[in-house]
Amino acid sequence: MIILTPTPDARQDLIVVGTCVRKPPVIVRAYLASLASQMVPPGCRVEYHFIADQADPDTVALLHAFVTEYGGLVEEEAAGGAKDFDDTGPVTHSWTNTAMARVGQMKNRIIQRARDANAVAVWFVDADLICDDHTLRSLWFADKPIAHAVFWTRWQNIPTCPIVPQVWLLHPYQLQGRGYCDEAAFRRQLLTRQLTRVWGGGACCLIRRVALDAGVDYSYIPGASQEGMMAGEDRHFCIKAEAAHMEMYADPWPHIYHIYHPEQVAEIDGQVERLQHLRDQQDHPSWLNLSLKMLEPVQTGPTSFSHIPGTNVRVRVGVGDILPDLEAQCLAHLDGVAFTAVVHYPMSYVVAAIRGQRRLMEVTVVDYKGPAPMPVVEHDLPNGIDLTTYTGRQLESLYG
Amino acid sequence: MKCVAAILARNEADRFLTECLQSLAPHCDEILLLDDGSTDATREVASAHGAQVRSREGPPMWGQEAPARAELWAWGAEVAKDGWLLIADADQALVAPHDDWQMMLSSWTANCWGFPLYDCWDAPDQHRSDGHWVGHLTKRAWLFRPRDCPNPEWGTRGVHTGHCPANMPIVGAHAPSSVWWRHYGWMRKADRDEKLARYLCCKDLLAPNELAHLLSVNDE
Repeated sequence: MIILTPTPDARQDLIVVGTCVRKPPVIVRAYLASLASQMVPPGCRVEYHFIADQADPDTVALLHAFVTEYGGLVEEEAAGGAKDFDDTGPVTHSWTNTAMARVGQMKNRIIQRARDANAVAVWFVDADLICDDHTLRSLWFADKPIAHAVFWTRWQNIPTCPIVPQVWLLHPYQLQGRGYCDEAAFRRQLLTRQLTRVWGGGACCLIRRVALDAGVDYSYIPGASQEGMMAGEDRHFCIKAEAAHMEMYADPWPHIYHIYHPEQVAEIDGQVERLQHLRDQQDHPSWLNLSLKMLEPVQTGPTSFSHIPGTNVRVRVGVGDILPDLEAQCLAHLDGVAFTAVVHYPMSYVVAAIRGQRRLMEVTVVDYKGPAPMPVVEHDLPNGIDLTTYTGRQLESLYG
Repeated sequence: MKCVAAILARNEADRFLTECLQSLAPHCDEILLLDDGSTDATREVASAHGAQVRSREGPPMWGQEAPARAELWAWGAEVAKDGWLLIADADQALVAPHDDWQMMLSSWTANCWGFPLYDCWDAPDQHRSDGHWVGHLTKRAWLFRPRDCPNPEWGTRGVHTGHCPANMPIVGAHAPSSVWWRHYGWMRKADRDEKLARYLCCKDLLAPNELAHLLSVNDE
């Protein structure tokens, strides 16, 4: 069968953005606005697929209006009798296994429709997240089979509950292990915005076609635990991804505000304004998110040369994370368009094979940011202590 | 750094020679066209676009491509001197932003640049991407520094001889993703039928995968 594909100058790869929605209109309005503000990656277009799950009629109306304007589909799930989840509790949310299984089935429907439409990726974004406008772009340039955008949440509304990221290293929800000596090392990696290999995550993840083709989805795995912290369709998704050798990465670059507790609704307007001005307020970026691809090979033997794979790095400006002349060229190309840079490697460069040499590199400044900390994390900074690097036990000792 | 384009052509005046020459002109200091006994206006079209034209003697290159390739390379290397030589076909158009192309020519390390070729099908803005149609997935070598191969030697295959000498000591670089070929050779149905018939006349010269690729032209 003949397959025809647009040439690079005409390509418009499809990314399906979707999720199941059951949040009240005040949250969904902010959520949809943050989706509409997303910078779409080059050569891509976006379609939306929402499934309204026992949602408020006003929420459903908002979804319909949104897809009418931006393209896509809204499905309305029939009400399933008794309400099997509660997201309005004063301390935390309460979900039943049936509710989580239903969400998994609905997400699978979104995956199936995306596959049928020959989409190159699906971006699942929970409806209680407000993402900064470069979230999708950052996840795309991470160039991983599965990339989870990281947000931080205090899951229980009590001071001794630590603020934690929505990514983890070991099931269920362990933030240490896999080569990290302790939880603080893993947290530090995320707080410094580094693309980080993880084995668990959910709520805001870009799944590439390669992972969809490998059969990764949200169905429950027969025989796997559904108890305690193992309950939830995203746990089973992660186990399937690992079994299919689809690497998952945490992308802590975007700023995402998670509206989890009822009183956070009052903070929505302030957070939206903050995220919108995150990039405007800075003349001199503090952080750069770069996609780098060395075009010329590196000599690896008397007559042999090798190509170095492309990489996505996040660096602080002015501290020597990257070579100064490369940094200067990046700061002159903040428009997000790929350019070819000349890089001179000094005699002191860490890689001996390239010392004293010059190489051409294809560079894209994916995004740049000021020094602002991530939402929610910032709440603890004025106290003078960065509580995010403390474990639950340490917090217990702090607060008695 | 100087850049010279060299084209081997036969009866291309009414096909895509104009598109080819127009796409090369902004990027190349000189364009050479070695004419393989055309009976149409190929030479005139090339001259009108500022190309240097030379007619080759001897039998047509089809089925015995190596001598023609060697002649084209020798001419291009002589003109390019210390610079770069872009080997093009008359049914290809180069897509390259000027800045990226100039950067490639400034390379201190590579003596060869590779970039993908998109086989247009039915329209110039779509290409075939199934089965054997993988030109867009690989960065084949097109732009060379001929000074690094002072004594070129050529293979003996009658078709698909290669664009550079067999003994070119390639230090290959990958062009930026903005640089690629638009290949018109298979775009029109009439061209496909003609090209298929021409290849089938010398199918014994083709490797199994080349033959399978060729036969897939008639896929539905």
